[in-house]
Amino acid sequence: MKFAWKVTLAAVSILVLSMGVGCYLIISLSFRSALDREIDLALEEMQMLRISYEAVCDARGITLENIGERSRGLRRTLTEEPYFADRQFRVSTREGAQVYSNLTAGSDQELLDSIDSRSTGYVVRSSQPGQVLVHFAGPVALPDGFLYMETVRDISSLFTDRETHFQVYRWILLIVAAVGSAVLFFLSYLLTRPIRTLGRVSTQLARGDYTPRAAVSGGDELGELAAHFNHMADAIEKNVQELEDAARRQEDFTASFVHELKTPLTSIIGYADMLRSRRMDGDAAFKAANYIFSEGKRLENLSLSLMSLLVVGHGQADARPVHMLRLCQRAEQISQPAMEAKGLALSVSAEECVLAGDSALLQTLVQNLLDNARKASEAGGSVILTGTVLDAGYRLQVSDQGRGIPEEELGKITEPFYMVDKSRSRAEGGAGLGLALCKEIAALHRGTLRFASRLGGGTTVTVDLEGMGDG
Amino acid sequence: MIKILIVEDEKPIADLLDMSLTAAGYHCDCVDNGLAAADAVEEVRYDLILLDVMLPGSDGFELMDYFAPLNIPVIFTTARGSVKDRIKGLKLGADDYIVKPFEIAELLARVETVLRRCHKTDSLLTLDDVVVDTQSRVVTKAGAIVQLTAKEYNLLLLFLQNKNIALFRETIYERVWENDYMGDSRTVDLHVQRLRKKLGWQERIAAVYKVGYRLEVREP
Repeated sequence: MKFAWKVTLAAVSILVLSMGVGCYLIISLSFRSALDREIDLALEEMQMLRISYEAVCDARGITLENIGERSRGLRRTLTEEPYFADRQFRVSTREGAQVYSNLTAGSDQELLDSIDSRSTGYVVRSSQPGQVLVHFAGPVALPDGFLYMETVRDISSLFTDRETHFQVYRWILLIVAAVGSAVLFFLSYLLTRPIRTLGRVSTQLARGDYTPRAAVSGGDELGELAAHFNHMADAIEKNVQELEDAARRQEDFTASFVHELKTPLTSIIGYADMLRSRRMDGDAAFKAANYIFSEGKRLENLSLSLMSLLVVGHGQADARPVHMLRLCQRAEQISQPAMEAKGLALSVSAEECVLAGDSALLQTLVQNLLDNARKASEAGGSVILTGTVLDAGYRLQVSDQGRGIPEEELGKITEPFYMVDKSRSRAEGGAGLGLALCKEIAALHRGTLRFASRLGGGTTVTVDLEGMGDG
Repeated sequence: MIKILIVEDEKPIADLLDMSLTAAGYHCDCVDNGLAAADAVEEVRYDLILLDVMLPGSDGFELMDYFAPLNIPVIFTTARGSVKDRIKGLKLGADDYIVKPFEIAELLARVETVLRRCHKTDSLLTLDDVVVDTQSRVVTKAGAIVQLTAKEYNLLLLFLQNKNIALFRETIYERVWENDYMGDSRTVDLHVQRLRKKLGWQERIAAVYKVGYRLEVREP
């Protein structure tokens, strides 16, 4: 059963039950008080009648002794006097001998027996269906004793009124229940809508669609739940995204690696096959042999770069004090000949600092960056290497005025096998692993690699190194 | 002359394909990116396209959309050898799929097969008075039918597709028997002997010392 139905059912049950009990009590109480009032009225009236009767008896000097012979005159007075004629009553002695009666309902000896000269009594009885009477009895004082008076009052209307009230009340209850159910169902439907929304969204999440969010607002618990739920969905989406990214990177790496491995292999196998199975003229044979050689070199480059990448990636490096000034000077010595050959001016300015690290790896890092700068530059340009001491660590900066890197490629250049200009990199013997290696080396020294570049306006690479752990 | 467009961004491989296919008697043009390939296809009516999958700028799979309506047969040459990639390539309408690294003999055989299937080449292969009808698989010599076993027929086809090329015994074995060569050369030798005898090609199919055999055809 739906939650909205449950809420509706529970609320309607409570409503009907409480209304039922409450109204029953109200009707019963008001009936009770009406009955009491009616009886009080009747008692009062009987009181008046008794006093009037006593007055008449007193005026006529009637006693218990002479009531036998005087009863005729008394009866005439009682029938002629309108006050008495309008009222139905019976007067009798203690023993039940009737003195006067115009009562249609007859006498009730039991009631008479239950009272005495100082008390009045009444009994409610139903003589025939639909008719309810109250029979009253009370003493009438004469100088020498008591007579007893009985009166009857019809209170059937009280009962029929009560019946009518119940009838009307049942209809009201039915209408309230019907209207209440409708309104309550509508309300609970509205209130439970956020729950249904959450349910729908979570089903979508479970199916692997991570984009939908629960559009639930408001500061109540459901609003909070929806907000938490959305946070959770965000976290899931982020995690899944990260996992997918990692898987894609892995896949890209594998695909690129296979491509980088198989391309030179194809050439080597193909040209070797050609050489061994066909008579080739000198030029063609040289070309084939040359391709075998250059592609073989390319494979060698690839394997060396991959080895370094693996070594660095596994953190297999010793932390030793590295003199950064000496490192920069050595980089200058190594790079100078290649720079000069291309007509480039290399200037190095570095501050001395001792950093914990692996000097061979750091040398590779600097050399790679200088090589990249050289490859990107045209003859006549200049390459600047600076080393600055930072509060915590050391900053290496390599700038060139070369061709620059397109902005949209900046994010990808440290990915393994990524090449901005593939044919040019190829021609210069690159495998697309240089910057990936630099990034790993920097990471090993708790450092970061930042690139600032303008197309045609040169590139500046900034490496901030903190140095390896405690070593 | 059959015209083949080679779309390959790796110069050594493009040259390799060019040299091999030119030697086999095809005319080849090379381009190194997708855009140039699209331009080239508009200018020249090619009979076959050899398409690399990993190209700078665009993916070879994307180029397929461009080539498919032109009804030019396409063979993918790629380093991506996974079943998923092969299926993707073939579903896009490629006629064949060659995974790098490949051997020249395999490449030539596949090119030949695709061209023949697409009726780009004559279904009749002729050398001297020997005629091979590749559709009905009937071989005639001076008009008379020569009875060949299936293996002998495939062997003959392999020689005709690789004229003047020394075929290694293991290459022959792998292409004709479609099995890995286990070092037993007598099967190959026996079949070559029978083929020579049936066609009277004792001189044509020359033994190459320590290598295998070569079908020798004087260049016109």
